[in-house]
Amino acid sequence: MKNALITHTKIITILHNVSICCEFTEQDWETAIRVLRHDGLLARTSFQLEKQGLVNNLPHYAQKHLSNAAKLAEKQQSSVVYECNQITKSTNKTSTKFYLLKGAAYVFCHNNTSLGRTFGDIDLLVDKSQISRIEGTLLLHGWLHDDLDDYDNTYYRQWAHEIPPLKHASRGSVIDLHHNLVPPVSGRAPKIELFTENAIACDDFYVLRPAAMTLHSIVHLFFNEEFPHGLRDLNDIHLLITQYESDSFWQDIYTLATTSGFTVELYLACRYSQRFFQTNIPEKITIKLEETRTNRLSILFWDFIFSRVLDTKHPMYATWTKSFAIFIALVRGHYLKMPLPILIRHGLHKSYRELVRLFLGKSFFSKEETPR
Amino acid sequence: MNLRLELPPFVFNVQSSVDFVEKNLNTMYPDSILQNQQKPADYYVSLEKVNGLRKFIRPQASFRFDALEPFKPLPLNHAFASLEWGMNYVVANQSLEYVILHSGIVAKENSAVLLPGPPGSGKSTLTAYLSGRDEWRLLSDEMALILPGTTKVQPFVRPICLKNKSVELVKRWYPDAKFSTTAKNTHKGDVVHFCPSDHSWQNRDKLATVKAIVFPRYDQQVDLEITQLNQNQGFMQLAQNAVNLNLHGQIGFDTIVNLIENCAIFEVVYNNVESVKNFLEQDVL
Repeated sequence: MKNALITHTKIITILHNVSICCEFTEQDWETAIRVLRHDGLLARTSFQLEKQGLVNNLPHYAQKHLSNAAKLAEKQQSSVVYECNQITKSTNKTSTKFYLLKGAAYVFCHNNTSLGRTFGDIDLLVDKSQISRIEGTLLLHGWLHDDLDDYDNTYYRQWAHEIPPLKHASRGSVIDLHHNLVPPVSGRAPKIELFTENAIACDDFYVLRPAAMTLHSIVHLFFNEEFPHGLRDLNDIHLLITQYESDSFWQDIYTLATTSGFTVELYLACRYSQRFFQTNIPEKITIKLEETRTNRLSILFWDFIFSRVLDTKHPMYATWTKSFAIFIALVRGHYLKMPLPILIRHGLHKSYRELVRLFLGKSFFSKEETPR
Repeated sequence: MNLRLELPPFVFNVQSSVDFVEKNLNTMYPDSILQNQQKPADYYVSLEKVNGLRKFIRPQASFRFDALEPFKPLPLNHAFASLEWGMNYVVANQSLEYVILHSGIVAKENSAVLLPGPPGSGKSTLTAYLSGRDEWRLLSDEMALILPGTTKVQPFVRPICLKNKSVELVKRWYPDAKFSTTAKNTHKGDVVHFCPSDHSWQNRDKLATVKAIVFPRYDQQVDLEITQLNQNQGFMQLAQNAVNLNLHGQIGFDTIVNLIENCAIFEVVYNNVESVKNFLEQDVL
């Protein structure tokens, strides 16, 4: 007995026009809650409804789940603030500037995107020359690397824009320590000062100025191979643009995208944010961005991929074209990030290991413990 | 099989294609719960066989909370127990409308006794015994759902999870009761679920008030030894059993304090469940 599902368009609509929820039946809610919870957007919906004073009219069933999700998100955010304070405490003798990125940045500058935003890792950016010193200090204070094999370690150290994640041994908090926004091996790593100039001080940290913060979120989403939280990340961008938009914001973000070489990403973000959430993008900007993209074929290709990988990932709305698009996006993302020879080596290495794991068991590559 | 279980205060949608899971659900839950309900489900859970080679060699089953797989797959033989544990896991992590204590809880009429204790303390055995006595009922053998800021407790009646030797004891006390199939060699040992009394099921919607907190400890050598605990001792021990205290913050803390201030608190060492019952009936409630 399969009941008719609430249309998928309605679920997307919640994310830019939350008042649509007021007409939901309990059955619509059941589906919407499952999907939003799965895509990490239930708490955000809860805060948006609260902000508009719409919560009290909803069925008790919906209120209960929305309020639980909001509480979980609040708790998560307060523990991130706590962890960030532990980081500054541990490193208080260094004069390094710590830039918070993504989720943690939204929380520290209390913008609209932070409301109900859930996330796990703390993304930090520091100057490349400081990385090993900061890493050493964090190691001393209990943030340790997971066991990595030599290949993965080399991958991070030589090619990536971050060091292997640091996980706190007792509290479990995870820090991703970055020195750039994209892997240098891609040849696309920008001069980081373009992004960090005019950063804004928040407590002991800095957050990027609105245009740089928004463009980073855009680059992080579109210059990537995996989209597990695609819908949430695109909705972040919608909320950032909606909150910060002004002539100077658009001027800044357009110039920054041009000088750092991310106009394609900015174009894609505007295109899909507008398409999914009807984001208000000035015509001036759309026209300027369209001029840089004349190839109709690549636009068709992108539309095929991004209309699917940025969509909900709940299996209720799974289709085979979506799975196919996810696969193509994986290939595209790898190709963006690595020059072909390195990509081939990387691909061969990963498939070899997967094969061995398939036949010889998952722990085949786990490092042996030294006998005591 | 796709069932909607209305287990106050939650509605679960349970899906499984493992035949003995369905059989156990039919034995463990009364018909009134299994009849198809129209209420929306709070949580979608499923228990399915792991595909691929594992279908044939040492088959496994895995629990899912909607599309998430929070645990590694377990031997197929543990499927029903994993489903029950998985449902507990979902409630413990998702439902913040209650301050949840990891504890057995039974009530005589509407006066409830919390029975928090570590594994091996005999908590489930004692809970199983008391829940079937006259005028007594089960609220839960795993998690006490306390309404924040009060001493009221919402029943969450489910099969009781019995381990190893306690199975024989409970079968002796309640020979007519229904038992699930055995899940052998789980991390808790051999596990059997036990269907609580009709009286417990009938009152599954009725709130009770916590009157006493009893920390049980089974000791073969001791007939009955009762120590009254002071509020500090009680608080420390109870807080350790709070499942979602960190998520509730201040209101969670206040709820525990309120419980401690309004309940009699004992540590009871016993080898005879009947004398515990007599003590509770004569001196506590």
